[in-house]
Amino acid sequence: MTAPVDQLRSDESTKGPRALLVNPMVYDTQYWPEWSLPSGLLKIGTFLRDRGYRTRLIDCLFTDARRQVRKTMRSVVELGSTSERAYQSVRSERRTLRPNEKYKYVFGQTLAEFRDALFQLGTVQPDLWSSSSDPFVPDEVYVTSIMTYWWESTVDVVRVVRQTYPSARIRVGGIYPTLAPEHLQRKLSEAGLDFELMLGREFESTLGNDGRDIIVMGEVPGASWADLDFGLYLDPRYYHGPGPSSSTYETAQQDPRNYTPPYSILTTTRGCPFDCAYCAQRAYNLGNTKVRRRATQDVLRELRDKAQKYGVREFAFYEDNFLFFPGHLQEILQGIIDDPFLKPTLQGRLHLSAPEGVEVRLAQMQLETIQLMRQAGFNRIYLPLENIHREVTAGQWNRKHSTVLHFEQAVKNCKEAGFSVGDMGINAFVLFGTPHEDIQCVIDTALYAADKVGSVIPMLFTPVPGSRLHREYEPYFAEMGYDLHHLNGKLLPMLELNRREKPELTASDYLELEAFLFRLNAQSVGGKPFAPSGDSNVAHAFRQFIVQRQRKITSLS
Amino acid sequence: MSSAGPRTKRPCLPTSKRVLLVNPPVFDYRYEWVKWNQPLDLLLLAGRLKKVHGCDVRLFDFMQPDTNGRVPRRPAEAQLQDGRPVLNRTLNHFGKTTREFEEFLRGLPTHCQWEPDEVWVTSLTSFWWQSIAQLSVVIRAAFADTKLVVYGNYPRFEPDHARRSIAFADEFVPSGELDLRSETPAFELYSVPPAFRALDSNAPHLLELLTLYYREGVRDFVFFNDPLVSDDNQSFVTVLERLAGAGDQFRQLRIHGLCGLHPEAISEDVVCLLRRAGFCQLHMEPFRDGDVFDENGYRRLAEAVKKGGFEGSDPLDRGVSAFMYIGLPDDDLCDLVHRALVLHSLFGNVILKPYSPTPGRTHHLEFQRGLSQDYSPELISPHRLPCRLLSGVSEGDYLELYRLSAFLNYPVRGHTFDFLGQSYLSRTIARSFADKRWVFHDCTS
Repeated sequence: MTAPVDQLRSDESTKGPRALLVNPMVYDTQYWPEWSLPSGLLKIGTFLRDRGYRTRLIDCLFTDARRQVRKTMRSVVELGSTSERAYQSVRSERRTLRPNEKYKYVFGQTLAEFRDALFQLGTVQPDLWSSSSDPFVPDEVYVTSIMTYWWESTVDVVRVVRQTYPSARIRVGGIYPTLAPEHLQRKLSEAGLDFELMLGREFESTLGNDGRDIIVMGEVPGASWADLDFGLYLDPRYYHGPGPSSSTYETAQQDPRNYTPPYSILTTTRGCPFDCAYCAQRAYNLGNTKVRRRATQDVLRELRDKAQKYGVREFAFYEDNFLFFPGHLQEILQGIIDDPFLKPTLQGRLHLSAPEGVEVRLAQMQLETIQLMRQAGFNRIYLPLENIHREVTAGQWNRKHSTVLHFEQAVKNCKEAGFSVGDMGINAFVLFGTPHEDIQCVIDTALYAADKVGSVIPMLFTPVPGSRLHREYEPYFAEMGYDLHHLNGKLLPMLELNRREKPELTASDYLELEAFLFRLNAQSVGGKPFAPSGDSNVAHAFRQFIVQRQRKITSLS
Repeated sequence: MSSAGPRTKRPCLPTSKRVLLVNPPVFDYRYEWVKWNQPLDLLLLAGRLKKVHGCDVRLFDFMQPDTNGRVPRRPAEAQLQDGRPVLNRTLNHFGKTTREFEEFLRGLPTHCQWEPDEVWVTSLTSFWWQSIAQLSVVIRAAFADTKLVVYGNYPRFEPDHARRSIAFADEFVPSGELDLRSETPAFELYSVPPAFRALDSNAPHLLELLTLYYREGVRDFVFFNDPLVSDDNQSFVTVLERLAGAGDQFRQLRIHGLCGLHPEAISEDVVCLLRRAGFCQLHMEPFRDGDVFDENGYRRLAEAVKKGGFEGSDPLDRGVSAFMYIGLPDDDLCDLVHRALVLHSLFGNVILKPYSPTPGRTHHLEFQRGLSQDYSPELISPHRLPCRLLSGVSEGDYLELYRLSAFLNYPVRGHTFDFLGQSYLSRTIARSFADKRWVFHDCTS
C-alpha cells in the first residue's frame, strides 16, 4: 500500500544521501508558538532536496490543531539571578512561587520523546504505511537553533542525536550558532562532542564531502532565498486532520493541508544599515550592512505555491527592513492583489502580518505602501516606538534614525490607510528592562502609546550576543556568573545592575510594570479601552486623584 | 411603594391540575451575571403544587444554559429597539428563542398528550416586562382556554401597567403573596440538572437541602436574599456554623456570595465564618448611607475581609470585590472616580452597579416627571442609567467609567494593580501623571 501523502513526495530522490532536519524543543518560562515556524531549517530542506538529498524532519515544536504547543515542568528560576532548581525539589517543599520566581518549562517534545522519534525513524515500523516505514538512518543531521538563550536544548538534542546515530555527521546552524559560535563549540565540547566552525558560504562548497561535525555560521547562500519546504511535513507524525472515527478520515489523509502548518513565513529582505545598540542583526549578517532583497516573482511564486498546494492563507513577513527599498514591498503587495491566480482565490481572505514591526522612519514616508498593506490583507501593523525620550533612544541605544515625530506621522499614515486604533489595529512596541533604565521613561512611553494608538506591546530587553549592549555589559554578565540562558529577557538580567542605581527596585516592580503595559490593552468597552493618559473627563479625574493621593502620602517634585 | 393592586384576596393555587411554569427570556442591554439566573420562585412554587396540591407540573426555562454552559444572547427584535443605543449598547435578547418555546408548546399536546390548565410566568424585575407581554400572546395562541398567571416582581411593582399591558393574563400574583420558604425546590423538573442551586437562606430546612444536593454531586450554591447576613437571620448563621464545623463533609462546597453582603453586618469573625462555611467569593454591597463616602469604614471592612481570608479576583478561590453604585441622581463624576479608585485599592476589584429607581419611591417619581415621553417600565432598566438626566453626568462619561472599571479590574497573573499603593511603580506612575510626561514636545533637532 502506498502511503497517501507519499504521492506528493514522489519527486524525492531514491538514491541521494539522507538528511534529517531537527527543530529542537525549547526550555523557557514562556513560549508563543504563533509565527514560530523554523523557516531557516525549512529553507535548508529545499536546498538539500534540490541537491539530491532525501530529507526528513523532526519538528519538536509542531503545534496541535489549536496551534498550541505542549509544555511540561522543568525547573524554577529566580529572576535576575543564576538560581535554578529542579521542579521536583521545589515541589517537595509544597509552597507557592515567590514573586521573584518563575516556572521554566519544556515546550514541545521532551528529550525522551525526541529520542524515541529518532529511534523510530531508523527502524522498520510495520504498522505504518509500507513506504513511509522504510528505515531512515540519516547520513547528516541538521539542527537549527534560534534564540541564544535556548542553547541548552540545542546541546541536549545534539547529544541525543550523537548517541542514537554515532555515524551521522551533525550540522548546527541558525541565529545562535552565528551569534555565539564559540559558546556553542565549548558547550558541545563539554558534552564530549567535537565540532568545527565554518562559514555558511564555505559549507555550501563542501556539501556532502565533509566528514566533520560542523557549526555553521551565517547564511548558506544557496538557501537564503529558497522556499520553505512544506513537503517535510507530509509525514504521518504531523497529521492533524479528522480522526479515524470520522467519515472523512480516508479523504482527509490524502489532503496535504492536514499535515502542514496553516501559515507560512516570508523573508524578502536581509540586512539593515542601522545599528541600534540592542539589535544583533549586524552580527547575524556577519557585518554585512548591505540590504539584499528577494526577487518579487520568487516571492509571489512561493505565495502561490503555498496557497495552492497547502491551502495556506496566513503569511508572516519576517524582515530586517522591508520598507528599505522604495517600491519593493509595493511590488509584492500589488502582485498579490493583481495576480490572476491569487486575486480570485485569496483577495479578501488572505491574512498578512509583519510581527517584527515596520520601521517608522520609512512608514511615515510611504503612505501608498501602508495603504497597499491594508488592501492586500494586513489587519494589524506593529510600529517600533521603543521609547519617547531622545536621551534614551539616541543617547543610549544609537537609534538616531527614528524619532517620535516619525512615529506620529507613521500612525497618521496607518490611520489614513484604514488601520484601526484601540483594538490592536495599530500596535506600538515598547522596550523595557534595559541597562540603567529609568522606569519613569518606560511609563511615559507606554502612556504616550496608549494615548496615540491604544495598543502597547511590551518587549523585554535581552542582551543578545553580537549587539553593542551585550558587548558593553559583558563584564557585568561575568560578574553575575551569567551564562547565555540567564540573559533571557523574561528573567530580568539587568535587574541587579539597575538596582545598584535604584536600590528600592525589585523584580516585582518589573513584573508589575509588564502587567501595567498589558493592562493598557485591557478589554474594550464600547469599542475602546480606557486610556489613562487620555483627554476624557474620567481620565482627568483619574490622574488628578492619583496625584493628589500620592502627594498626600509622599512628597512629589 | 405602591400597593399590590385592587385584588386583595390571597391567590388560589390550582389543585390536581396541569401547570406549566415559565421563566421568560430577558430583554436588556446587559446582563452581567446571566449564568446565575435560576427561577427559584417557580421551583418553590412547583414544590408546593406537586406535594400539596397534587399538580402535574412542567417547566420551560428560557434562561437555562445550552450544552456549552452559556445562555444564548442575540440582538432583540428590531421592533423593540428604540433606535437610541444606550452607552453604545443595543437591546439584547438573553435566553432561548420564542420559536423554541412555540415548538415546545406545540409538542405538548402532540407528543406528550399534555395540555396545561394553568401557565404561570414569573418576572424577576418590572423592567423586563416586554418578554412577558410577548409570551402571553404566544401562550394564548397555543392554548385558548388555559389560565395565564403573571407572577413575581412585575405585578408587585407595576400592577397597573401589568393589567393594561398583559391583556391575555387572567391573574396577577405579586411576589411576596405566597410564603414558599418551607417548600423544596423542584429541580427534578429540569431534564438536565442545573450545575448550581439557588436557595433561600431563610428556608427552615436549608441545611437538609444543602446536604441533599451536595450528596447528589452539586458543589455550587448561591443565595439571592438581601440582606444575606444580618441580625434578623440567625437561622442562616446557624446553618453556616454547622457547615463550618462539619469538617471534611462539605470540603468541596462552593457558596457564591453574589449579593446581600452589607458592610454593616460584616466583621472579621463573620468573614471567617463565611470562608469556613464554604464561601468562595464575596461581593460587598455599598454602605447603606451612600451620600458620604466612608473611606475609613471601607478600610476597616477591607481589613476584616482580608484577615478573614478573602483576597484577589479568583471567583473560585476567595475572590472579593466591592460594588459601587452609578447612575444615582446626585452623581458627581469626580466623586465616582475617587470612589472607584479607593474601592479598587482596598478590595482589588470594583464592580459598577447601575442604579434603577424603585417604582413608587422618590427617585422614580422624579424620573417620571423628567420624562419627555410616556412612562413605561423598561425605561428604568439600570443599564439605561435612567437617572443620568437628573445627575447631569453624560452618557459618554458613564461609558468611560465602565472602561475605567474594566481597566482597573483587568487581572494579570491573577492580580490587579493598586494605583494608590506605595510600590515604586505606583509612585512612578503618579509622577508621570503629575508632570504629564507623556505629552510629547518636539525636541528632535
